[in-house]
Amino acid sequence: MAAMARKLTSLRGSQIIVALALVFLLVLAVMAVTGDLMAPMNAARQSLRARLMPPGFEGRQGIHWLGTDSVGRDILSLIVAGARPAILVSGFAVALAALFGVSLGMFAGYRGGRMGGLLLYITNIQLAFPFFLLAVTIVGIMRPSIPLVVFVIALGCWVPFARISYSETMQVVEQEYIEAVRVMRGGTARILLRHVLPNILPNILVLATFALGTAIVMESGLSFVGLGVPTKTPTWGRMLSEGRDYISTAWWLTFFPGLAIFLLVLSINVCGERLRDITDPKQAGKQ
Amino acid sequence: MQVFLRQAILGILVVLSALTLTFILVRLSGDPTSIILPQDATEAQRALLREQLGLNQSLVTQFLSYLGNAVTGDFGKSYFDSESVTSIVMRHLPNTLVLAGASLAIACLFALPLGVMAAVWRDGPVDRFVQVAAVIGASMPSFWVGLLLIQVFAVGLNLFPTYGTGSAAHLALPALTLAIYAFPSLARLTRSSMLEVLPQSYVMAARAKGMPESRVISRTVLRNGMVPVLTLLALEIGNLIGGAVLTETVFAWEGIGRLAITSIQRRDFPVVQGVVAYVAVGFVIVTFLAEVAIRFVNPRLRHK
Amino acid sequence: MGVHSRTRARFTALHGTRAAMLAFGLSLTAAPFSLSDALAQTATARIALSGGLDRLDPSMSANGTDLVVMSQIYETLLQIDPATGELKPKLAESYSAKSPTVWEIKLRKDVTFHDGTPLTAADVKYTLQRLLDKDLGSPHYSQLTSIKEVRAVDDHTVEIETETPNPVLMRRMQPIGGSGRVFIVSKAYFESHTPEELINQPMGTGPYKLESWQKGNSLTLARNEDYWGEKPAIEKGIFTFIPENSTRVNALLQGEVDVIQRLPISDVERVKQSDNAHVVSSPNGLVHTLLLDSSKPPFDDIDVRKAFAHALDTEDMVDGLLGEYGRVLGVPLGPNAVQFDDTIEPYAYDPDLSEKLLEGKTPIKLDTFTSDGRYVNDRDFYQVINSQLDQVGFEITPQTLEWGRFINMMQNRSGGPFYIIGWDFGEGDASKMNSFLQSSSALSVTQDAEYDRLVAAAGQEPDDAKRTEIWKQVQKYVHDQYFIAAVWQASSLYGFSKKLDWTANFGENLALSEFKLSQQ
Repeated sequence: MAAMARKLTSLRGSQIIVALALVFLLVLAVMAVTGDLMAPMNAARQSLRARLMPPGFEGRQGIHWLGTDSVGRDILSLIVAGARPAILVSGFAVALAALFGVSLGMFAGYRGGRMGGLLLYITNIQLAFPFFLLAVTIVGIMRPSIPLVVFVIALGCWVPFARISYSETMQVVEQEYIEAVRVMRGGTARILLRHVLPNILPNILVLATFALGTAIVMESGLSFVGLGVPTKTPTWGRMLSEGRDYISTAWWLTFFPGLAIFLLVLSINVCGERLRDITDPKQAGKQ
Repeated sequence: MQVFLRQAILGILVVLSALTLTFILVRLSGDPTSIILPQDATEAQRALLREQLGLNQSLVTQFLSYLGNAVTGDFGKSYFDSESVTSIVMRHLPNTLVLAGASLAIACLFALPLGVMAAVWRDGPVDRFVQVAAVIGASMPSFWVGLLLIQVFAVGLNLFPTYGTGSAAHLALPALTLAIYAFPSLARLTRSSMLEVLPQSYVMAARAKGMPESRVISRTVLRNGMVPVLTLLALEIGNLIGGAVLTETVFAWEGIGRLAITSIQRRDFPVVQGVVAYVAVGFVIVTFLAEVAIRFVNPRLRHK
Repeated sequence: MGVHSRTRARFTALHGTRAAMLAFGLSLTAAPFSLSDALAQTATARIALSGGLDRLDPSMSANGTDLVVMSQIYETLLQIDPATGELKPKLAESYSAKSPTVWEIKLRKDVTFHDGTPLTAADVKYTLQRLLDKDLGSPHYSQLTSIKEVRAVDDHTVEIETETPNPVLMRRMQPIGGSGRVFIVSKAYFESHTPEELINQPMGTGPYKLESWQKGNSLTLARNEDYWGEKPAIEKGIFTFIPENSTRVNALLQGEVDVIQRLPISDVERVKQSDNAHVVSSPNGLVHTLLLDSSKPPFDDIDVRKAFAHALDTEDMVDGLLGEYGRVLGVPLGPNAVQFDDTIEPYAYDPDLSEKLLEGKTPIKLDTFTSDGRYVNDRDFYQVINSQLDQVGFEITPQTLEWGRFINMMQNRSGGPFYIIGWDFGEGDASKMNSFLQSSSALSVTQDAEYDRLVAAAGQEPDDAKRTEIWKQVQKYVHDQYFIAAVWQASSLYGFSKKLDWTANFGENLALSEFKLSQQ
């Protein structure tokens, strides 16, 4: 009885967390759509007299709940305004990476043999190569733009997708029923989409949620080397890297954008977990 | 055996391709003379330096002479301090290996047992702890973690030095930072692979044969469940050798990652190429070993 | 675990008890192997530089951190008198112009190199000839090309003959100002060692000699006990390298180092409020110029340049971002330069004038590039500048570029319509302006015949008063032409342990020999 009760309450607890995460993501989505409209103040407005003010400081525009940055902009408004690029850039990058990595991985895993070797070869070159070398080189050759940043981040995180889906596909293909399907009706694409993809999707989803976090951090790392997203107000990643010099004197410059990234990734992870429980037929049956 | 031979050939090809790619890319990334010389140097000075560095020869000539020397282990000299690339890399490599080893050891020490336990006692307290810890760990940018750790443990509590390379005390914070970074994916993948293996027919079969549960877990489940984990581990090692650039920067840790980024920013072509060469070789060796290990744990793959 | 706790113990000892038991208040570097060693207190300064060291051959490096270390080991013929800004002798006993094209330098007779050999005219001649060897590729070469011949008249007399009158040449003979420095080396030593050895084992006449150098880790200098000049207070200087700003400041505050170079302005308050450190500053840091590319549209139109300049509230910007450690200048010239004209006022903040000037013109779109971390608060400066320009109707699309790429673009005159470059005016002469204004200079985006004509005349004028007069005309002209939209100078900031003190007279030169032990 006690165990049953505990399970029930914990279930409710986890549902509350999922609900909270969904609400947070929804709010972020709205912020991303409306952009500056949701911001309590004009995010671009600077005030050198009110630079580096701590949270709760009352300035001419009102109370800066999360403080101001190094040119006196309101951090809360910057975070609100930064939701769109954060979600768009990392989302598109991960989607691109997953699309590319998973299709390549599944195909190679299914065909095996030479294709597998080729995939290993390509991913190995990519991995044997420091990511930042690529990034800086690209900065040296091309002008920064949003699609370019998306492309570079995707380049930096597609490999795990390919690797995992490759090894998972190999395992799935080994199972007898795929053999049966293969014998009955050919169509590689059909087999991959209908029979392989659902089997490997849970792990891909888990990976994608982590990749999203990685993508956001990569974006901030890229602004170190000069490949930041060229927007008027900084992205979360750029706020984080720009606040680095003030870590000891004005902690709120890095703490809040870091917290925003943390909460975003956390919410995605929580929802991803839930999604995983729903999409995984084998494990859903076990509950 | 043939498999391993193929792996070795593949490895050599990977290293060669990475070198070629680097060679071309660094030369597209700009003119190093702008950085080596003072900012108001004349064009004539820069032209002379380009000549001295051999940068005005054709790309093919440069590449062939580079490859020729590289085969004998001579990767040239830094444009800046004329030190040989090999000795520069060898000075940074041990630091990176120590940091990578320490952080992966910490991460594995916690991630693997916790991951397995989480899967075996699914939805139990350990499982919940692992999930929460993994989610929190994975959601924090690693250099942010590093900065927070410095603030708390070095500046606030004065327990560790803030920066530098040397003693075990210096190692603690950067290793912890990277362990926090590596823990979530390791723990979660361990857990999810275990969960996939647990309901498999061969596990059922083992149980049905009356094998004790602990033996079922240690022999059958671990063996099969470890395959993706090993793949990931190899990836992580590759990542860490290739440089935890941001972490190394935050802690002023004199490793390969920091060497790579500063050399790239300074356009020190020979050092960049040397780093890539060593990292590529290191990576190929690690993947090769991982492949061997995978075949060793999972005999069913041996004949593929 | 054992290693760990031992290190911890040592660490605490260094930072706790030892500090208290030191009379000088400095750390002991002697290992406690014998009693006498332990009792011998060494006045040591541990200095964290903001970057690594490359090559310590003074003819082969003009890199800032290299210069810091080299100028403790090597010396120059002359130095600048901090009180007047004029040149005064150092290794030289005296110097004079024998004719407009011939300088005569008398050397001190009591100077020896670290290896015990005396300094002679042959060493000076060798030093200059080495720098002037075109094939050596010295970074100082282009600043010295006017030299035609160097003659060793006798053991302690040198004559330098130039192609044309070159009144600025003697400014190269003092240690401050980046490229163009002439540090005197030993002929015998340099001729008997390989280039690699010269890079790694510097040997000069200075107050300190190299004790050890663990590349990438640390470099130790020991006091030259046979130094010809005044004996410095510091016996040992240990240099380490910490590029990361916040890490460097933390190291100072934790007592891991005694001195840090390039104290970030954001950490000044933290250092001031700490118990164990203080701020040392010199107002003569880099002079930052906001250059306008007047060779291309839209800034080939003086009205647009004028509108741009008056749109900026430079005073407010510098006050806000640099506070007491920055000053706005009316002309692109360090106030320490003898020709500096302090009667020229910076451009006034007048957005109405800017809007009026831009009226009737199609909105001006500017695709610009910005640096981040190259200069003090440069990212913030760009952000404020862009927002102020935005308010008068310029449309700015900024992109941050990595410095290696950016400087390369600047040198090819394609760095965008406007950008900031910082200049070291440590030499104390107006001729440095030519680096960014003379048509022939690689970094100049100004192509102006009148400017070129004026400075050509100044460069040849042997009479100091007349020369200054021409340079004042140049400053007026540059100001009236709006070639440069804003100029400000940022102080050079250092963090010092309270156990040490130093008076920073010039921008970027850390002189170990001038450090004083504080009596506490």
